[in-house]
Amino acid sequence: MSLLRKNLVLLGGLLVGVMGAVLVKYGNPANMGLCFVCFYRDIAGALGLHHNALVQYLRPEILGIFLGSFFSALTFRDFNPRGGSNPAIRFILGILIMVGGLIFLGCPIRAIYRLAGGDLSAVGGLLGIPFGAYLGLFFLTRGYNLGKARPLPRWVALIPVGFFVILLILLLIKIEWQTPYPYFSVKGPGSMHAPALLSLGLGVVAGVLFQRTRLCLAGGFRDIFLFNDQYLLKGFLGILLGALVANAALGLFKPAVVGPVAHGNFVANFLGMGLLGFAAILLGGCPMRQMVMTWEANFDSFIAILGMLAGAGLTHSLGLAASPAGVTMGGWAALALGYAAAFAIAYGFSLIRATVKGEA
Amino acid sequence: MSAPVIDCRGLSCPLPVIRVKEELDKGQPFSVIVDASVAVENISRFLGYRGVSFIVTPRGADRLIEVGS
Repeated sequence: MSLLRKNLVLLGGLLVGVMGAVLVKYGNPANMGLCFVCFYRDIAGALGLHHNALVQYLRPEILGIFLGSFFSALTFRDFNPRGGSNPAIRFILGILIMVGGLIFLGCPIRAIYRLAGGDLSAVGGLLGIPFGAYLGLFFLTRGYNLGKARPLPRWVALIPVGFFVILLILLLIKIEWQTPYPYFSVKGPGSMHAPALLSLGLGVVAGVLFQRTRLCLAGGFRDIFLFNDQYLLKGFLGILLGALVANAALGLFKPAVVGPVAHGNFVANFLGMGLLGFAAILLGGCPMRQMVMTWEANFDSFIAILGMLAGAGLTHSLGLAASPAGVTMGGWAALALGYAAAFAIAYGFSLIRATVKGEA
Repeated sequence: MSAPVIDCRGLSCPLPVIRVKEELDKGQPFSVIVDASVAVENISRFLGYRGVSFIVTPRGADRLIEVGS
């Protein structure tokens, strides 16, 4: 492997780190240059899956990532329509990811951005990721398997493409004609965003980088534990380094015990991100990676994305999401239930290999 | 007896690498068939770290990785 190829993920990480700072500089909420949990939540809100008026926006970064990853996967022949590996369970795991993520208030990428912006409360979440990864691996090495994905006809790959083209059209008509639908926040984090074209453009770049580097924030710790393979963790460090330098340069580094759009409950941050990490390992990739795999025509990943959108809707409609004010009672209950469900799935699908001989 | 072929097509990350690791620990030559570039890359990286020689050849839309011991 050439030196460039070995370090491509570090380079990609650095760029994503810088990109995050730039998007915040131009209007995104603090330490939220890119955040897959927050952005799925905002998209769910824009579509009306929840009615929290503070977090509704069709984040163009995600739509850009769709375009970037999709064309990158097509160009580099990573486009391989397949699916059917327990989609219903993947949908549920998508919901669990959002429950955990919205207790912490971010995905692993935002956890890094938060730290790079000086928010010390991110540490609880960052420690939670390896904890969750460890739980997932415990079962993966004991036979956990959701079953094989099988080849699908090519037209099936058009379904997620169609869904995201509709989102793009909705974004355009909203910007062009200020239509009442989709819903866009007029105050709160949902109203804070960089110019749509900048978000979309940087999203395309990020989409290509993510697709080419196979960056996965759940995979980083998983590979360290399993094989002592540091490739993916380099991406993690790249994002941190890039964001730190860019934040410092743009005057966005503001040390605080609890930063903006965050809360300081260490246990909740740790357990929230732990649940996200656990569910992500059971799915085979972090919230970002699920999006990228969707554009490699993995229909199961698309189902996980739909689960995350539904999860965002549920979490906000039922008042389970945390906020800078802290974690609600419902939030704690959802966290407990989330762990129970994740353990049940992990345990149940580890037994399969022990009982059903033959097909692994 | 020919070397066993492990079918890892359609498995989620990182199961193909886990299967390869399990098989490698048995100490016999084997082959593994995968359908995703990411699986080829992960397995290649893993075998590279272990200092194990291997050959990757296309097989229709899939890839066959032959692992020596």
